Amino acid sequence: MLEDYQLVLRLHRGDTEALRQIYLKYKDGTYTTALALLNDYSAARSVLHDVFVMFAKDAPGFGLYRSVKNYLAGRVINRSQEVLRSKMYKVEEVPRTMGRHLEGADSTNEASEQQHTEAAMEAMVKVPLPQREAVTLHLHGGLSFREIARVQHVSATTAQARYSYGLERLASILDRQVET
Amino acid sequence: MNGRNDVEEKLRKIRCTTPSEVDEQILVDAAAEFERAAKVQAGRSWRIIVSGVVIILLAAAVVFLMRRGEVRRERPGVTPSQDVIQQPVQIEKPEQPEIAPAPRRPEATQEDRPVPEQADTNPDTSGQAKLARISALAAAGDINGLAAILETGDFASKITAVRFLSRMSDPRAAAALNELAGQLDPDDPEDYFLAEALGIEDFGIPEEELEEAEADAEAETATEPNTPEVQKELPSEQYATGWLTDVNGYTIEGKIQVGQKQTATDANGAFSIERPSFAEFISSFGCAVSIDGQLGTVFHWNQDEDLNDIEIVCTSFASASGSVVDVNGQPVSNFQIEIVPDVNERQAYSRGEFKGPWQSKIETDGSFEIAAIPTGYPLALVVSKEDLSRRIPLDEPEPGEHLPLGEIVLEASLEENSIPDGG
Repeated sequence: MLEDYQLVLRLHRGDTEALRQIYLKYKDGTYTTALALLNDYSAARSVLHDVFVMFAKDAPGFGLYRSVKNYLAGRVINRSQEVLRSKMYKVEEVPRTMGRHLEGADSTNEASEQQHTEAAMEAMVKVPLPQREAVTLHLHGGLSFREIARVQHVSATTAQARYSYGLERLASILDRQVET
Repeated sequence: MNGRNDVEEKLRKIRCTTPSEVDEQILVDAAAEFERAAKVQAGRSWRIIVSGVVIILLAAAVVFLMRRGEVRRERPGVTPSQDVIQQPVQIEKPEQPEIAPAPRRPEATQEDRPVPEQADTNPDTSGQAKLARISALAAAGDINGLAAILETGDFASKITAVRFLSRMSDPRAAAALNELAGQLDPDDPEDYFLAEALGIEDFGIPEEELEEAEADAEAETATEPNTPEVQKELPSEQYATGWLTDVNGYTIEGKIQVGQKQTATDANGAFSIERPSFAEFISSFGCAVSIDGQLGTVFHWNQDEDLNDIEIVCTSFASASGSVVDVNGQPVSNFQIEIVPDVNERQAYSRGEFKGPWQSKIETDGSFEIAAIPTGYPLALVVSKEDLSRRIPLDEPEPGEHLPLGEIVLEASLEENSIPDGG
């Protein structure tokens, strides 16, 4: 939090390097969240691009005590919802570009990890959107249930319930995938 | 088998990243946007500073001209140059030095303060001056000074002093108020309104009627254990308290139902409702609806949850439509529609009468519409007729979303069914 405060302070002074550091700090979480919501690499990259460009636009007037993490989480949720609702967008028509890089995955188990990730992401798409948001914001965005509640405009209890339901549904979907 | 914890662990490990060329592209675009925004912000800052300076100069000019005009009105014979020179003397001269807020004194020395004498000897006896003097006494916290006015002041001064004393919770205020009420004429409309402004509720009402009304009020309080006054006296563990808000965080007035209990919020959206008993259940479900019936939500409270200062956020309703047919595809009429929280067998709950704002409409051709489905929790639609029923999970609809449920076939089973194809 203190680090973010200093970075935002530097942004106010026009320091572009601070923008780069914020991007490197949050890009993986933001990208993974978008990917979990959309299950489409190309669309997720587009969301990542839009979110950081929007942040750069707001950066000179960004509140010193505002949470960068919560801001990005809110933006990625809104942008992903826009993409999903867009009539122009259809998952089947967007080609899945190759190249997913997993941290900590060496060359021998990369293919296996890739498969697990693919399966998990495909299962995520079958979970209702509010529950999917709660799961990915908590696990990939690092948001607490209270912060998720603020992003989703619901109470903390509801956010926690959505998370819990989302995980249960994912477990049952993954079980069915294993059976088939 | 994937357990919940396994799935959580697997998902937590997933951390995807983008190729460096994508990062570079995003950073270039973001940096360009940042520089553009920084320039705009800088320009805006300068405009704000310049506007501020201009406003301050204009304000100073207006104040200067007004002061000059005041002095000229008071002393029409003086020349403008004299006017300016004498201006500070005219303005700064205190008209009533005794009304300046006096420093708070210890109680012992306040006893000797000759307030009534000051009031009598002051040459300025206009209503405003009296009011200002009493306000000054109140500002200084001089309770004895205010009490002295009750003895010696005129009717208006007494009323003003009573109001200040009652704000300070001084017991003399009530007695003085009664005495003043006795001096008012019930037949005089002006006195009647004055009494109402002072909060003398029983003014002009015959004693018999007053006693009757008090007896009724006591009886009403005894039969309504949920009135806020009674709730305040009960232990807080027995009550859940909180606020009803919209998505923007503004409080809204509405109704809340949890289990068998119902209550309405006050005008500021605050509510206090008897805590659900839970019994052997782990959670209790509830529904909140705004007073205009436009917003609502479904929520659940767990047994171990802190139920103080809860915020219940109401959103727009979702809606659903469909039609009900029997196994032969013939339309069914006179069926019942019920919406319940969609919980699985591991989640026991005290549902009670789960009343909602559904606004359901059933036609004779088997079609139905539900206009107000609160969001916030996964729900299920139960369609039933005699021993036939069908349960359809609605997941968690989005606010404003319409759910076309298509044809629903009534079967002799209560097991959970999925949304029909094409629905």
